Amino acid sequence: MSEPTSTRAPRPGPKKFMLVNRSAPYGTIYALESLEVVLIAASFDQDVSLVFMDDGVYPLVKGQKTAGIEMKNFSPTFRALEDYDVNKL
Amino acid sequence: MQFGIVVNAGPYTHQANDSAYLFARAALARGHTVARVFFYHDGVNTANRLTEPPQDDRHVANRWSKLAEDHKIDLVVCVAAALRRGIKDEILAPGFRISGLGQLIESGIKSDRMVVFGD
Repeated sequence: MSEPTSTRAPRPGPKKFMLVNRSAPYGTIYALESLEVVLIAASFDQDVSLVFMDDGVYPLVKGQKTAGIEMKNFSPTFRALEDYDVNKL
Repeated sequence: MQFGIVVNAGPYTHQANDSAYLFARAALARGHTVARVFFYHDGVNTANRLTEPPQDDRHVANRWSKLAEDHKIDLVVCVAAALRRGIKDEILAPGFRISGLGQLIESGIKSDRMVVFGD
């Protein structure tokens, strides 16, 4: 149980990363930064999947008008996921 | 086992930051390895060497620095999150360095387990 395994060679092939989105889009920065992590993970050719639950479904709503809170609407960025071969949503 | 640790919670506000440190120390004491700790969100404030907690309190930055020195741990602070909060190279505590999210993903690839502390 306590045996160190630091000398192990890196395993071949991509690893699975699942990111769990639980936050509404603008009240906190979590939704935006999770998307950034997803894109970086995908650019490392990893096996990425995304789960949207609780308030985490709100970033997916179409036609968000964010000018009133002076924040950029980042929802269109989700469209880039397809280009990164992230299809497990 | 090799652990990767992610710290999302700020020091002194959330216990998650302390828990990450205690987890790392316990894992190392058991003979596991912790190659890298990645600081993200308010967790980047951990790296601020200008912090001065009261004398009878734990010094969060200093104890991370010491753990890193004793066990050769790579303490990485997310550049985007850090610059937003004024955390720059000139105020980093010893053992910390600023780099990108790629370091987080690389840690995930190389570790047997990724353990995330904080929301």
